[in-house]
Amino acid sequence: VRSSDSLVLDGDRELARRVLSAEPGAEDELIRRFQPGLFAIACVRVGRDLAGDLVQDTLAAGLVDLRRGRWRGEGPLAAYLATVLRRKIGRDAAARRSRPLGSGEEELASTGADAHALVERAERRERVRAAVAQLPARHALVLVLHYFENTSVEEIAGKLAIPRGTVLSRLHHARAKLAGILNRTGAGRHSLRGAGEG
Amino acid sequence: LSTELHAVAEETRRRARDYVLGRLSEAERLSFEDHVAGCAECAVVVLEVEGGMERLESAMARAASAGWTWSRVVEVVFGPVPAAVYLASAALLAFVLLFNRASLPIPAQLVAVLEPAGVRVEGDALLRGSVGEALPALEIPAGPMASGPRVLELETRVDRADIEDPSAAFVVEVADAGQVLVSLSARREHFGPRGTLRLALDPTALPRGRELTVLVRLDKPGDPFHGKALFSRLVLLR
Repeated sequence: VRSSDSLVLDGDRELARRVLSAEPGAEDELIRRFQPGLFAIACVRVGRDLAGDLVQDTLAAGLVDLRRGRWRGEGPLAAYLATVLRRKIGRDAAARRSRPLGSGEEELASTGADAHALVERAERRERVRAAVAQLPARHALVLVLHYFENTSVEEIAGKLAIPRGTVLSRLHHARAKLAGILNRTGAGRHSLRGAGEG
Repeated sequence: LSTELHAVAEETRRRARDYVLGRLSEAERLSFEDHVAGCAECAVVVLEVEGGMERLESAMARAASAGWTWSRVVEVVFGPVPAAVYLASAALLAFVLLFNRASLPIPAQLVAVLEPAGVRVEGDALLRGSVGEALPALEIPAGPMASGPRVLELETRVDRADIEDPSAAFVVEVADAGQVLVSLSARREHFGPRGTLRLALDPTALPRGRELTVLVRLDKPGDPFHGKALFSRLVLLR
């Protein structure tokens, strides 16, 4: 019996062969299969505004690699493309950080967004993420249930067997603590934590 | 089978949540990303959870800009401050509230006013029905704090007799294309000596860059102009 991993790898090798021999529809299939996952990763790592371009670049680079036979089929294609994406995220972040303020005109023309504003947003997101991780467990729990699980205050109260008012109070304190942590960590905002890793 | 599927879905969601919240170790994160890159189902879950981060950020932004934050103002002006400055600020605010009530703005359900002066807003001539020429929309620039309150000094020119009439009240409205976004009740104590009304608007609760109509209506049942606008002006929040 063959494992699901080896079946996936076989499928990837077949797709790579089809791309290499320029079979019609092969490139479209590659995009269809990997675009959603890569986009989700990019959204988390750099935010929705920057994700689209990075994923497009990643898929284009992946296609070039497949056409030239650079992917050797030793591991899943998904992991290979995820690595390409991570490298692009790292390079992109470094390039944006080193770009002086006011030089984003080119970016403005191509994406309709200010490069520095986008980077700031990504950095802010990273700070919120780090701040949530620092919250006490009981506050983090209501925050996660409410915002990440879309659970209503009443449902949280039922789930945790606590009064509705307590849920509201914990939510309030969680947000206040989060704001406090964010204010304290505000000084270190000009860094893109984790974006260049991997 | 249903229970097993449910457990798998729960585990996927938990994993996605830990990923979005940065709770995975480096190795776990890389492994999860390698999987998600080729799994459309997990990608959907990750995007859903990532939406939670957006909701949280919006809530934080709203909370930061909604309450009027004396501490924020002090922070903006002085940077990190010692407790003594907060105490002094609180004392000053208490002084203003206790001894300067008459000059306070109309009941500010939206935000308290901290700016000493607002933007003077002349109205179209609508006094008791004499409709004049509509003035162009007045641009209201951002104050010292980009998302802080915008204070408008409405030059209503409402007749002093109407203002002083104890049976008369006034309704201040901000409307966007006929839809009322803000409605506040004003009485004579809210008017300045020359019929000026101070209106504090929270720009985060209103659309920016759109022409909004600011109206002052007469609320005096029995008066032929009951419900009619005595003051009107288009404004545009920047």
